[in-house]
Order: sequence, then structure tokens, then C-alpha cells
Amino acid sequence: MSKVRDRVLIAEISAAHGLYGATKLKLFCASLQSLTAFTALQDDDGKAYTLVKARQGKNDHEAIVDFAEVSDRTEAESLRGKHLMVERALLPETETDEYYHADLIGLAVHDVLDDRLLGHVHALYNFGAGDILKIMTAEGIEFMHPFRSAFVPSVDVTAGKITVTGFDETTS
Amino acid sequence: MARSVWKGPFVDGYLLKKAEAAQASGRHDVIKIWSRRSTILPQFVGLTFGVHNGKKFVPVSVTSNMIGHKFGEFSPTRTFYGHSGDKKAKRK
Repeated sequence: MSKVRDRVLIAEISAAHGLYGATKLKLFCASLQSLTAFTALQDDDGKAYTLVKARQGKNDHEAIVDFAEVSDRTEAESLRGKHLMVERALLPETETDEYYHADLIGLAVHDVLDDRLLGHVHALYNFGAGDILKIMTAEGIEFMHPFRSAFVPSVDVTAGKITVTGFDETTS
Repeated sequence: MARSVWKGPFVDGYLLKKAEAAQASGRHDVIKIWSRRSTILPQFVGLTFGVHNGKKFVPVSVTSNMIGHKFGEFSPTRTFYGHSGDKKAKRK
């Protein structure tokens, strides 16, 4: 069974900006350029928004955008809190051994030795020292495991399975 | 004020012993440490440490450009929230 998600969350509408329907977005994508690569966005209900113009906000995680469907401030204010998503198929292809976080989150984590189910990928972090998988067990216990080939021998996104080695259950 | 050069970098003794043992064994294990104050030395490159952040051990895979930094810099102590968006992870 394929575990690949259909849509990926890339931004959230945080506020209206100005009088003419511009909106302020909180970006979850890598940069503003990543956002502008997609002209058609969808909200949680599947309603489409066409990106007309986008510029950087106060910081790297903020953008001010104009949508063709939004023409005044009242309309923009009503969109506050909406999540904006793109089709997973529209994301660019990744390199070898490179994965989108959205693809990895939710995958089942098995021990390479006995194929025992350890938990599921809950999140991915990078604190400057390599990517880290946050694994949550069925009991709700969280573990962090390095996302390196020495510790994660195989990743099969389509099968929804990751195998890990050197998993230490005392490091929760 | 910066630390005097003549003293050399500070590293807890137990950490050096653990790193030597891990290198000698050749196994890929996360070396659990509590010493956030220790400086990352060239002999640690290639090893993966689990640096305690007060609650759990955060994996720190040491690379050459981390030399001279402290272990604690790579193991945040505050809760981190965020969305994955279109971010990517590379398995090295």
C-alpha cells in the first residue's frame, strides 16, 4: 500500500495585509522561491487559490502574497488560519537518498535484526548536526535516531517502511 | 573573555575514553554523553554522539566543520515545533 501523501502543507494564512486583499503567509517551505514555484494552491477544503504576486515579509518564514481570488481586505481577513497545500506530485524530484519530510513522516520503523515494529516516524529535525528522526512508539514514548545510512539501512516510502539499526530504547 | 590558548580545548575525560572505545570497536552506535560543555575535537569526526538535553539524547553526527564548537550547541534544550512543508532530509 502506498503511503505517499496526496497533498503537502506549505503555508498558513496568518493575517490580512493592506486594503486590497493581500495576505500575510507563514511559510513552512524552504524559502519564498519554493512557494512561487507553485502558482496553484489549495486550502483544507480543496478550494483553489492562484498566486499572482509574492514578496518577502519581515523574515524568511513570512511572505506577503496576492491571490487572484481575493480582492479586498474583508475577504483576506476571512481566510485567516487557512492552510495552503500543494499536490505532492508537483514537488520537484529529489536526489538519491534525499526524501521530503512529508514522505517520511508516518512511516513504520522496524528493527533491521528481527523486523520488530519499533514505532512510527513522528517528525524530522536538523539542529546543525545531521538529520534526526523522531520516532514515537505505540506507547507514546519518543526516541531520536540519526538519519544516516549507518543507522538507517533502508527507506522504502512506497511500502511505508524504514529499517533502523543501533536503536537504543534507553535514549528516550 | 575567550579561553586562554595555552590551556587547550576543554573535554571531559570520560568522553575521550568513550570515543576511543567506539573507534576501536568499529561499531556504529550512538555514544551517550551528558557533557554539553566539551569541545568537539578532530578525533570525534565520523562518530555519532547522543547529547543529553536534560530530557533525552539528541543524536549529533560529528563532521569536520563542527570542530571547536561545544556539543551542547547541537542539542537544543527547548521544545521545537515546526511544519515539514517541502523540506528535505538527506541520508548520508
